[in-house]
Amino acid sequence: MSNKNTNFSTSRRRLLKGLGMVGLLPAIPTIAANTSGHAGHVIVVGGGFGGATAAKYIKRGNPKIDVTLIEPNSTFYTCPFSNLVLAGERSLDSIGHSYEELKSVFGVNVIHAFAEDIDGVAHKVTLSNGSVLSYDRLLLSPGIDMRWNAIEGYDEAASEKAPHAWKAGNQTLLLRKQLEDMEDGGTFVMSVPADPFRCPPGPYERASLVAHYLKQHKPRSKVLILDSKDNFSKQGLFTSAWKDIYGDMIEWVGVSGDGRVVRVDADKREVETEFGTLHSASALNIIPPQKAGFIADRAGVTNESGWVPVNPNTFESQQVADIYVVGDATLAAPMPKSGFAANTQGKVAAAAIVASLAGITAPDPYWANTCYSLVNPDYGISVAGVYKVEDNQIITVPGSGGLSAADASLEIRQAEAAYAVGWYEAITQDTWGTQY
Amino acid sequence: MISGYLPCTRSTLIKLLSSATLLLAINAQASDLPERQVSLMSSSCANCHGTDGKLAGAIPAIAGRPASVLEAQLLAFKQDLQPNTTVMNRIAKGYTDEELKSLANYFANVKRK
Amino acid sequence: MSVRSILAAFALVSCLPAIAQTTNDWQRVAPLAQAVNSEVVLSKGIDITLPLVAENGAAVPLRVNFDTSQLAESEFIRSIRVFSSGNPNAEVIDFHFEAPFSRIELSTRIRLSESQKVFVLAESNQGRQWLSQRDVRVTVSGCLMTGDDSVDAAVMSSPRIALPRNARSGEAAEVRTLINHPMETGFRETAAGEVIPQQLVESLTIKQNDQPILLVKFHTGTSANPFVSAFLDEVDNLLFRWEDQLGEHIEEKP
Repeated sequence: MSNKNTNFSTSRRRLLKGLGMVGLLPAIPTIAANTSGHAGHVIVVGGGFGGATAAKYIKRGNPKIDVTLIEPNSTFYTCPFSNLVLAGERSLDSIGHSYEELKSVFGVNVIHAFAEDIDGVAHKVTLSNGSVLSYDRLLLSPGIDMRWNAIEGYDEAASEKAPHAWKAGNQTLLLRKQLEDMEDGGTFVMSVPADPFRCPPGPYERASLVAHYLKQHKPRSKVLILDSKDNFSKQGLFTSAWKDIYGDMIEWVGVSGDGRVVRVDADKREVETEFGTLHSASALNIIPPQKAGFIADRAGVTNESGWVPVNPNTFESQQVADIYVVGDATLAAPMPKSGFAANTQGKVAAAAIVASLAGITAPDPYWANTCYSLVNPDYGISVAGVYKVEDNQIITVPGSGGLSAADASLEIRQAEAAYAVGWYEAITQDTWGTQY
Repeated sequence: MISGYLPCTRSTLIKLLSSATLLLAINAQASDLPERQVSLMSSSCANCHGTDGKLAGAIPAIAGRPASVLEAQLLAFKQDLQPNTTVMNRIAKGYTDEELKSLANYFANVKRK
Repeated sequence: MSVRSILAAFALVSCLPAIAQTTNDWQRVAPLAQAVNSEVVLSKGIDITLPLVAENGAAVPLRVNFDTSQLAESEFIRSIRVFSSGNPNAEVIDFHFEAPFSRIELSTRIRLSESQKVFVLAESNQGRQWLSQRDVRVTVSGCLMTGDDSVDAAVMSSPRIALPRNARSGEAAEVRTLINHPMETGFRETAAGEVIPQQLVESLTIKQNDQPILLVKFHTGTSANPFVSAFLDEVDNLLFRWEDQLGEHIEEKP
């Protein structure tokens, strides 16, 4: 397949060169033409939006590079659209993605195991199956880990009774079960952490879609959001849409209204806030404070914040050479911790790794991001941004991005809801698949 | 601070450069941006339009459409001339006219299927 | 107050030329330079906890610890003052101790209009001074845009106090407090372009047995809904009193 691609590209390249258009060729593995045989071994740890994208785009950039993807699960369930599963609007299967096309079409070697340790000096990764692999370049897409016990009483065991559902899969189903078992007139309580955390608008989309479910099935129920901050993503858009669609079903309490949860009793489904208010829940969703996934710690790439500082041009670790880190684990603000951002960071890191193994300089990075949120399945809102590097820092390109218009028509909200679905199909295809 | 004073410096410069390029090579539609640079820039578009812009669904495919059409569309988004736009106006404003032209050329040269 | 509005508030003045910042630039921060009056300023002993990158400049969590073990006998900390290099007004928040505190650990939330340095100046009753600083990068994360530009009424409401649940006698314990108030800086404009006048909560006084033990002065650099936490040696018989710029006051007992 890759040979075919190269042949095709070469012939097309020649043709276009004749036309004076050589600068325009899309996605040509140009570097492959300059290398022969072994072009290096890249290990990718983590098969989410960042890692799977990077594995695919390294192979697209140079098929002669050996790429090994380490991912414990054979199916990856996405956090995006998991709120629709929670609300009963989608099946869990519909947000699951396999690695078959990365293997069969792009020739990525996929190993389903945990990466347990990393030696950045010796360039070695130790797996849970006992094997030790060597790499020339390592790319980590470790995602997040929960900070257990950052909230008193909330540890991993408690998360079985008061799910975070902030990693999709079984946690999503646990919370779905609580929602289904909830009596009409009950309260769905959600605790939201301070910044930074995965998917800033996610909790508010979740509250919306939970309310969508309750409105149909348990209309006397409430959604109570206890927040550790006073401002949240797309706040104005969410707040006015909530009022229009759900009346007073959703109540949001910010940190200055005593919204910060400091103690959880998962058995009693009860939480206590900073100034001593107790709230009882019929269904309890605790989204705890987070940090970079643990393998980032093992690799020595995190700093005292618990997140990973990276060189903005390449997403190579600032602390350990030849290790690249992308996605939610990184300190990449103003880029958000989103699947979209992880995907585009994976492409920047992939281009940098391909260039680095070929001994040439990496292309200048470009990133974009669009975060869609569904207030209900037919009402979408978004925030977008375009990013670049200036003075060695990531900045939002001035004038770009921003929120959906506050006064947009219902037709526009419907169009954005349809585009949210289109986005999901496109990004999951771009990350894990090849089918058009 | 500097960008605060002169927000348009870079794009103005590139505009000047691009018009000079046009004068020098009237027949060539190529941009001055290197190929792998445009390739990386274009990869963000895949997140909604599919890899290489080929996915057609709720969001239109962009691969293989004429460069002039794509460029005009992108510029219309950037200048808020396209009514009922959702997100493309916000995204197009993140790129210089030259970069939009390069992207239009890039996707025009992708073959669909 | 939203992220966007606080940034918009500061945008009024942020187009002024910035003074070049160097590593020992505290002298360029006028109110700080004025406050430093000892010949030798000590550097070790203050620990500042701030995020390296703040995604919301409207409310950046700040914690200050002072290592009291380096104080001489009968020496105690009189004041801890916080300054910023890049805000339109450098003063952020001041803590004045009216009595010796065995544990100096203070938390609050501050406003930072842009990436800049935050300075903490401590002074003892014997006139010794300590100065420490931290860099904070302020960004507005893409997904954090709120689209909320509301103007809240500038009145104090809902004072809250939290005492430790299991305070042990003889051990300093954390007391937290918060009052609702928009803390209008006077730098912010409405959508129509009118400057919203400054309205601040000026101070919080914590009294014990009718004697003031801690006086906190708030400035434009203090976040809306001013939050303070401190470690007190005794938590009995406390009274909290807030005063605003209009001369109003609220008193609350735990």
